[in-house]
Amino acid sequence: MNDLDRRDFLAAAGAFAVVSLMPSTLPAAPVRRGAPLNIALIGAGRQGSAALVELAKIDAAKVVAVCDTDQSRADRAARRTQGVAVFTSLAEMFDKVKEINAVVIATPTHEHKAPAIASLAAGKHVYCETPLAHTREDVLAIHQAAQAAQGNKLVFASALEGRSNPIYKLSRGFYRSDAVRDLIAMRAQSDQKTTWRVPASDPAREAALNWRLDKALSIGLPGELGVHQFDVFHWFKNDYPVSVRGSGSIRFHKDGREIPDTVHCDLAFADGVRLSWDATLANSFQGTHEIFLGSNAAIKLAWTAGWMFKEADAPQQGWEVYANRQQFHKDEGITLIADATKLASQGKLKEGVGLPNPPLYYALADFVRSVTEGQPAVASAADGARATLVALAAHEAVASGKEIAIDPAELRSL
Amino acid sequence: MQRVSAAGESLRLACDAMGTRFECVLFGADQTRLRAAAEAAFAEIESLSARWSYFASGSMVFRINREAAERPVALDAETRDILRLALDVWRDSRSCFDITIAPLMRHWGFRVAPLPERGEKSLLQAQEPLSERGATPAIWGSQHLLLEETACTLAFAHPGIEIDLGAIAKGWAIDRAAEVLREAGVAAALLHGGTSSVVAIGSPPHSPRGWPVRLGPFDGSPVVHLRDSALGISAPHGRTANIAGSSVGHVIDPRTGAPTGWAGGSTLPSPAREDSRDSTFAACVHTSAAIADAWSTALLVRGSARGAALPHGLATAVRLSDTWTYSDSFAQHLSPELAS
Repeated sequence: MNDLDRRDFLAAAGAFAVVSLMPSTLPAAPVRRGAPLNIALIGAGRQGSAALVELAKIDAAKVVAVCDTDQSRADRAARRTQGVAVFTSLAEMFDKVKEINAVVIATPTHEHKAPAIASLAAGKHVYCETPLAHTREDVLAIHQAAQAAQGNKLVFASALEGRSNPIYKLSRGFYRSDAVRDLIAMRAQSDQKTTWRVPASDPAREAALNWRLDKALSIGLPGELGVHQFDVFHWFKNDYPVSVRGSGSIRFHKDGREIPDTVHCDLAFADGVRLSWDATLANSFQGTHEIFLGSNAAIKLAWTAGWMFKEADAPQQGWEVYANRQQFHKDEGITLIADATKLASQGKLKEGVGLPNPPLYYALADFVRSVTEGQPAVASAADGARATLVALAAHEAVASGKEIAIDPAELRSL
Repeated sequence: MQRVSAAGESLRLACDAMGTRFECVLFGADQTRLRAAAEAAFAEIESLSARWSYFASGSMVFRINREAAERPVALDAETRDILRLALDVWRDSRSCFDITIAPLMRHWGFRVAPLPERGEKSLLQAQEPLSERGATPAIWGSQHLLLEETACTLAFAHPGIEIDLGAIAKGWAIDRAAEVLREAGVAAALLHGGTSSVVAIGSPPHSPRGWPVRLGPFDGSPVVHLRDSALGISAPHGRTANIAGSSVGHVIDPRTGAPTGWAGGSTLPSPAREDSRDSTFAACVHTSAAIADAWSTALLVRGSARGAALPHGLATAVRLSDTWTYSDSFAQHLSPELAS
C-alpha cells in the first residue's frame, strides 16, 4: 500500500472510527411490541447489498438507514430498499436516526472493529460479518466488547450462516445421532471462478476496495472463505483443530497479486480426524461444499442443498422410506430436506428440495428473532471469534508454509 | 475519472441468469480491470435475477404473487420503479405490453403447470376457448395492479392476478450492468441478455460508427450500429407450443389473451396473425434497454408503431410479411444502403 492509498484508507476508516471513541455503552433501546426492528446497514458493498435484499423479506425487520464511506455505493444500495436515510458517517447516522435498534456490519474485514464497538457503545444490537477481523487483537477486542454489552441486553451475532441454515441444522441432527457412525475424515472446498477484484474508476478507491488482495490487510482464502466452512465442522463436532498446515500459490490470476488464488489446508483434530480444505478462484467445479465421511454414511452439504450417501451395510431407518433421492454417477444421495416429515404428509416432499432463500436470509432472520424475542444469538461473538482465530491460523499456515499450532482450550475459554 | 482505453485486446465473459445467457464483450488495454468490471456487472444481473424471478420461491416477485391479492406488499424502490415503467408501457401501448399474462402463458402451454407451492388450481382450463369466457379478461390485465408509488406498495385488485417481469427485466438488468461498467471506466463494451436485449458502450476499435448488430437470423437481415445506446428485439420464434397442430410462437397479445400468431379462439383480431411465421419481428433502439425491451414486445403485438404514444427518443423497426418499416430515427442506426 503506498502513502496515497494508505491515507485514503485511513480517511475512510476514520468515518467509522469517530464513534468508536464513545466512552460508555448505552443500554439497548426497547423495540415496541409489534413494531419492526429498525436496522441500519453499515457497508453497502456486495455483501451489504445482498443483506438488504434478504432483510426486505423479513416482516419483523425494517431497514431505516444505510452507511457507507462511498456515497455512490450507499445511494445504489438504497435503491434496494425503500425510505432509508443514507449516510457516509456512522456518527452522523447514529446522531440523526435515533430509532435504530440494530446494525448489520458488512464493511471490509479490517474495518469491522470500529463500527462494531461503536454500535455496541451506542446501544445497538450487532450482526457482524465473519471473519470478525483480520488480526487476533481485533478479534479479541470485538469479542470483549460483545461480552461487555451482554450486560446491557445487547445481542451480538456472528455471521456464521451454516448455524442458521435449515438443511445444516437437520444434517447436524443426523450427524450427532450417529447416522454416519465413526467419523473417518472430513473434506471441504470453496471453488469459484472470479478475480476477487472490485472495479473502480479511481485508482485510490480501487486500491481501498481491493483490500482482499492487499497483503497487509487480507487474510486470504482461508480467512474470507474458509472461516464459514471451518465453523461448520466446529459446530458439528463440537471441537476445534489442534494444528493446521497449508500451502498456496497463484495458479491463474497472474495479475500482480500476492495473495494466492489457490490454497490447500490440512487441519488436524485431537481425535486424529483431519479436515482437508481446498479453495481456488480459478475453477468453479462443484462449488462450495463440506463432506463428513463416516463408516455408515457420508453427508455432503452444499449450502442450498444436502445429501446423505449410505453404505450398503448401514442399517435402514424409517424416514428413508419417504426420502427423495438423487443419483450422482454411481452414488445415490438421499436428499436432506428441512421439515421433510411435514412435507411428505402433504405430498410436497419434492418441493422441499433445496433452500428457497439464500443462507444469508436464515442468518439474518435468526438475528432479528434473537433481538425481538430476547434470545441469545444463534452464532455468538465467541463462536465468531473462534472460527476467525482458526481461519487466521490457516492463513498463517498458507503464508508461512509452516504448521501452526492451535490451542482448543484457549478457544473454548472465550 | 480514469477510463479504460478502448484499444487493446477484447475480453468475452458470460453468465447464466434469468433463464438465459448473458454475454459481454469488452475492449481495453487492461484485461485485469476489464475482467473485474465484467464480474461486477454480472453480479448485478444475478442479483436482479434472484429478486425478480417468477419461479424462485424466495424472490420478491414470488412474494408479490403470493400475497398481493390479500394485502399491499411493500416494495423496494427499484422494484417499484420497474413496475412503474411496465405500467407506463402498458398504458402508452394501449395494452399491447402487459406483465400480468403469466396465467395465459401457462394456458397456452408455454409454461409448465401452475406453481404447486401456491396451491392454486389452473385459472384457465387447458382446452377452454377464450371466447367462452366473455370479452373482459378477468385473470390478467395491468388495470388490476394497484401500485401506490408514495407508499411503495403493490396490491392486486383480486385473486388470480400474477406479475412476471420477464419481458422487461433483462433490459433493466443490462441497463444496471452497463452502469456498473461505465462507473468502472469501461469505454467500449457490448452486453446482451439472451440476444434480445443489447446495450452498447462506446464503439469497438474496428468500428467507430458503433457495434454492428444483425437484426434476426434471416438472409439480408439489416445491421444496426449501436453506440451508447440499447436495442430490444422481439420475435415469436424461439419458445413455441403446438396448438391444434400448429407451432405457435410464445408472444401473447394481452388484448385477446391469445398468441400473436394463432388464428382461432380469441375475441379480438390480432394484427400480427396474418403473418404467423417466424419472420415477424420488432426492434427498438433507445438509451434505456428496459424501454427498448418492453416496447419491442409491444410493437410485435401491435404490428406497427403507428398510433402508439412512443417514449421520447425511441427508434422503431417492425418486420411484417417480409417487409421492414423503420422510423426515421431507427434508419440512422442502419448501414447507409439500408437506410436509403
